[in-house]
Amino acid sequence: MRTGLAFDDVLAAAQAGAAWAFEVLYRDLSPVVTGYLRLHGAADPDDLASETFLGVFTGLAAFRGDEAALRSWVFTIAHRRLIDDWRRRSRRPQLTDDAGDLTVHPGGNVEDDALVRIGAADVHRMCAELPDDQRSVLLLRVLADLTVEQIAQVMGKSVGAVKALQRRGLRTLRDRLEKPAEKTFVARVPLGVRPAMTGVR
Amino acid sequence: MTTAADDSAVEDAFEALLAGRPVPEGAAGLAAFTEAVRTSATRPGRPSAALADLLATGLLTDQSSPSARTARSAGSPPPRRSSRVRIRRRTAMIFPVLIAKFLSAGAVAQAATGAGVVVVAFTGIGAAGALPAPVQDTFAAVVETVTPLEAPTSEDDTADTVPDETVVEDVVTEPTDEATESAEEGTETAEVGEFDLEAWIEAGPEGYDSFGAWVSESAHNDDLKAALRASGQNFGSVISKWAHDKGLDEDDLAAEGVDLDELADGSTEPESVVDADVTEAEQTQVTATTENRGSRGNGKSSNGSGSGSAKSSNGNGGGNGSGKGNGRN
Repeated sequence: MRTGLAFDDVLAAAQAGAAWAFEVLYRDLSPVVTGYLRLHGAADPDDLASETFLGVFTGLAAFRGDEAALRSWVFTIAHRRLIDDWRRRSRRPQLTDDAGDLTVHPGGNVEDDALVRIGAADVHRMCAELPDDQRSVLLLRVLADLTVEQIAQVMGKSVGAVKALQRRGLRTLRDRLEKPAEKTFVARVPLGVRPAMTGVR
Repeated sequence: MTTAADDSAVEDAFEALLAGRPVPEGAAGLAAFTEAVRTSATRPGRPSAALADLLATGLLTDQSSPSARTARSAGSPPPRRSSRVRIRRRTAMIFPVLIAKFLSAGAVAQAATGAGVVVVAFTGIGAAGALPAPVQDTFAAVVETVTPLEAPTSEDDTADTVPDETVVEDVVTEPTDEATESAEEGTETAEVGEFDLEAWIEAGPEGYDSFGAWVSESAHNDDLKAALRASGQNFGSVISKWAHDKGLDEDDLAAEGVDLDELADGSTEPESVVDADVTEAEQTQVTATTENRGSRGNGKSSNGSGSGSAKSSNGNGGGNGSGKGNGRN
């Protein structure tokens, strides 16, 4: 970690109630948790994320596990808060009849051709078109960096069901996107090596 | 038309994308989508007021018993720990947190913190005058130059004795306050009840540690004064009569702090005699007598020595209720 502090030290301090450790965990996890809630169409993602972290910090003393387990646990709480919010508000993400211009248009620039961009509005629209469960699986995989097994625990489903949801979600996405020209794409920053515990003072 | 092979290819591309491996052809759109999703989730949320407070102050409470908290959420009221236990545990939590914060700080911050601690400790020791003589003198000179305050020098050896004298004064003063409170309580009670002058005259100094204690207490009894005025009797004459019955001469009375002449002259303000003549030691004795009076009075009442005695004890003292049954037999 960039802080020079091991995850175990941060976790131990957070479990003891240290504010600085809360801040470390919040800075690391808040963007992805808030993004997860926002792309799910939550009415007030910031408020839901705050509720999530209040639950996390007040219940952290009982947590046992490593960094991946903590991430999975945090998203379990966030997912439940989201479902509660859906039930409470009876509000679902806004679906649009017209998907808009989701077609990827490679430009003349070489880099732009390689790094095809999709705007934030398009991402929201594409997510809104996905069924809730499919969207949850894909977002948990991309944002939370969770495995299929961890997502099964978060959503309370079997591993097979999660795999099926992922397959159908990817199929839906593929149908919405026009297949680009034959190029080899390399992600700018690999998701799998995303540093943990960033933003530490 | 979508085939199973296409699904498998997309899944493989998705897994490769998440793992940071090069994705195969035809998955640029999926890669763009994942990149856009990730980009949209780089901004931290705006914490609510409760969360912001938690992030600022942390949780300085003991959370080592999650099972207890689970049981509490089941509907039973939360177990109430004593404030002393909570303060002790909270204090025990503060030091590890401070140490962790200190260790997590940078080198400059650690050095600044250490220097601050040294300065504070030096100032505190210097203010207490516990530094070595040359250092203490220098410290005092600097403090007096920079601030309007005066710091003790190495020659101020008497500083240690001052608190002792103060303590002695406090010890002497406290009983006097108690005596005043007791007298006030007696006054408040007397305002409610009706004073029985005949019973007081009949009982006399019986039950008191000394004749002077009886006189002193009686001199503070407003109801007694009012009753004496109403009956036209003189406080000093009653005291004189009892002194005669007890065989006390002027010297004995003087030793008790009683001046019959002043009592006879100032029957309307008998308390002035006591205030003027009773020493601090006797005031302490008055306090002890006052404290004993309640139980004695109750004892008389419980013994049924007469309605007059009972009324008398009610009129004179606080603590009638608690002393019931504890009286002399």
